[in-house]
Order: sequence, then structure tokens, then C-alpha cells
Amino acid sequence: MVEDEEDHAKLSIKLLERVGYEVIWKENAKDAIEAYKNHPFTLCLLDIMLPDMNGDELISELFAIPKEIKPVILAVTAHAIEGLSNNLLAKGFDGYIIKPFEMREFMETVKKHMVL
Amino acid sequence: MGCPFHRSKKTPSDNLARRFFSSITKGESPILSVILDNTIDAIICIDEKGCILFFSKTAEKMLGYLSSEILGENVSILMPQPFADQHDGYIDAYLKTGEKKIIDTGREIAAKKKDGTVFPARLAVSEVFIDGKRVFTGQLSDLSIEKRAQIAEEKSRQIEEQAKIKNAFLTSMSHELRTPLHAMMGFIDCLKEEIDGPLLPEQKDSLERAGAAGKHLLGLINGLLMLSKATRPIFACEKTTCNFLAIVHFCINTMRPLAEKKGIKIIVDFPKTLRLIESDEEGIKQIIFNLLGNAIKFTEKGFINIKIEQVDQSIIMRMKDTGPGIAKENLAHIFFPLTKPFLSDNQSREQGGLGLAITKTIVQCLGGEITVSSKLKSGTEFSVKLPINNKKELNE
Repeated sequence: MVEDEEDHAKLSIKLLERVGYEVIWKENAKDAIEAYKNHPFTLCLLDIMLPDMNGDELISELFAIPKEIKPVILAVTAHAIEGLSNNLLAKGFDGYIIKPFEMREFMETVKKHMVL
Repeated sequence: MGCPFHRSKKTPSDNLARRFFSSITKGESPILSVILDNTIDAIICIDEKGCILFFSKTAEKMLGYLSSEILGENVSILMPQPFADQHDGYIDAYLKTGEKKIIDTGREIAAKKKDGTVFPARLAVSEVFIDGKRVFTGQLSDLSIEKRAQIAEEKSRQIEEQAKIKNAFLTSMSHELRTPLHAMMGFIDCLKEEIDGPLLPEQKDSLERAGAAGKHLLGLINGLLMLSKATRPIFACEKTTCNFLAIVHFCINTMRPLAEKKGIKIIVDFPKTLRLIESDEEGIKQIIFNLLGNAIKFTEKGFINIKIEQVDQSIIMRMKDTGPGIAKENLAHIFFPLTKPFLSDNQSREQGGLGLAITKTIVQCLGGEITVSSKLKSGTEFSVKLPINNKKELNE
């Protein structure tokens, strides 16, 4: 998970760890790319407005890294703009979650993608 | 002093004008005469003192003078101040220095009509010699329309620019507001779901209320965003084939417990069959939830009557309540955002908020209309008309 808002990160970690997921949290794109290289992730949750990179750039950086099993990549954003969803899917995101989200909705989305 | 330095009318002194005219107008060159009368530009000729020698038909129309009344006048009569006073100086300077300021190049000037109206024009001047006498020929085109178009274009560009700034502002404001709200609502959720430990019923109730208020706030933020036209986060209007009756049933079933809690009956009057419609299901749901939510909220006792019928190529849904009604003076702006149209009979009501403004926006997005009628102490009726746009028939 890449998330620069500490509160948001803590909230998601709390929800995810509770049901047994292991979460690695990075606060910026640079650290996230480093972590991506070294861990076999199942799912990536990317905040698309990071201090050092936007979502488009980050996902293309991640795609450039060779991986045996490509993880599912979801965008997480507090932006609610018309056309955003199509834009994200076109950029290669497998899905997106809009903040504020409800706990159940968040967990369902994560669960769905962890099974895929 | 002669013509250029006196504004007094004086017939052009020598034979120049006469010869000049006769060559054009008295049939020596009929083609030239026709051309001169039919140019889009006004043509005005002056001698080197500024006296008008020729004034074309178009010039008459454009400037309001008759040729007969203006011949011999100083051309500065056609200019507003301060240009009128400076004009003699211009000619003088040119004659002395030979430095061309307008001749052969043309430029935009202000011209003055007989009635005093000043208008923007383009003037091109050329210099000819007739019998050794210098004649300046000016072509004047009226730029009023172009200028007006230019101003209108500039204005619409400014409006567009402002809209862009406004939308950028709203988008970033929405993001800024949603960010802390996400943490608030998320952690309230955690407590409420007892992730952090078991709660007493009172504690749970407090959190329910805090969570509901957070949702309300989020609704307001989304609503504001949606009302700014370029950014519509919730409602993108994706049209599919919809079963209107089924959608209404769904909404009523969802809201019924709320109504029953207040002892309000929801009475329906639906047709047996109704055409499927080409519309946006989420949009329709939101319209009905907003209207039904209001009806339940503002009705203390009695019933809510929902009637659906098909009229020509439209579906009309009427929702009538037995609430307090809305005063006539408030009815006019009921669809404006953040008005409080429900204050009547000293009843303190919750805010009118954005619900009806959003409802209207959605109805319009779907190509429909919404109207309201109301009578104090007797109730309010909203009527929503949506186009069918679909050939299929559904039997239920």
C-alpha cells in the first residue's frame, strides 16, 4: 500500500490486518517502487496523488519492473471526477476505490481482487 | 484661412472637384461609377486641405450624410475628438515630411456619423494625382459587427476561463474536504463495528449518529461538486433500458420502514403495464429517494400518494404528501441549492439543502421536467416527467 496520509494508511492497515492480510505500507512512490521490486505482492493499493509522483507515472514505473506474477493494482483516491474511472482503467489499473469508503465496501473490493 | 483650418464649408476652390466628379459620375466611366456605388466600403476623397471631394453612396449609408451636404466640408467632421482636431496636423505633417502614417497601410480608427454615433472602422488611404493636384482616397469599412463579435468572443473566453478556475477549485476543494472526512468516517466505522472492542448500546448509538452526520456531510460535498456542471462525480448519466415500475417499487420498499415508523402510509396508483424506458437507473433512484425522503421527512401524519402514468412518449410520476405545504413565495426558489423552503407555520425544519437542486439537475440530465405545486396545511405535489425513448413494451 502506498499512502501519504498517515490516518488513511492506519485505517486501511487496521482493516486489512484484522482479517489476516499482511500489509507493507510505503509513504511515497520512490519507496513503493523499491518495495515492489523486493516483495511478491498479491495486491497493490496506490494512492494516485503522492507527493513525489502521480498515479499514471507510478503505475508505468511498476509495469516496467519484470514480475513473475503480476499483482492486481487498485487506485485509491479522494478525487471524485467524472470520467476518472475510465481514465484509471485505461492507464492499467485493475480497479479503483474512492475515499471516503465504507469499511464493508472496501473489504469486499479487496477480497474480490485477492481471489482473482 | 482655407478649408482645412476652418471648419466652415467651402466649395472646393478650383476645377479639380468638378473634373474629378464628372470623370466618375457623369458617364465618362459608367462602370467605375457603378463599382463606386456598390462597394461594401465607403469611399471618400479629399484634397490636400482635407476638403471632401467625393462621398460614395455607401459612405452616405454608413455615415448618414448626403453627398450633397458634405461635399466641401473638412473631412474631420467625420471624426470624433481628439482626432478631428489633430487631422489637419496629420495632413500637414505628411505634406512637409512625406512620412506616411496611414497611406498605403491602413489602420483602425474611430469614425463619427452625422447623428454623433462613433463606431470603429478600418481606413485605408491611397494618394493619387489628378492634373497635378493631390487627392487622397479613403476606403472606410465599418468594423462595428466585427468588434462586437470580438468583444463577445472575448467575454465567452473569459467566462470559460472562470468556469475552468471554478471547476478546478471545486475539484481540489472536494479532495481536501474528503481527505479528513475519510479518516473520520473510517475510524467511526471501526469503533461502530466493534473492531476495537465491544461497545455499550449508548456508545454505539452515539457512533451511529456521528457516522450518519459524516455521510450527510459527504453528500453535501458530492452535491456541490455535482452542481458545478463540468464535474459530476455521482451522476454520469449512463442510459440503459430501465423498468421504471421496478425501480419505484425498489425505492418504496427501501423507504417504507421509515414512513411506517412515523405512521405514514405510502399509497401507490400504478398502471398494470408500462413501457420500458431508456434512462439511467441510478439517476431515477436518486430522484425518487430524494423526493420520497423529503415527503416522509416533512409529513407528520397522513399519507404519501404516488401515481404513475404514461402520457404520449413520457412517463409521469406524481408524488403527493399531506405535509405542511410550502408557502407560495418559497415555492419559486425551491429548486435552488441551500434554500430553506420548508419553513412555515413556525415549524422549524431541517435545511432544504441540496436534495431538490440535485434532483432537478438529474431530471434535466435525463431529458425530463420536474414541477411542484403546494398548498399550505394541505400538502405538496411533485411531478416528474421522463421521456420513454424506447419501443419495447413490458407486461407485468
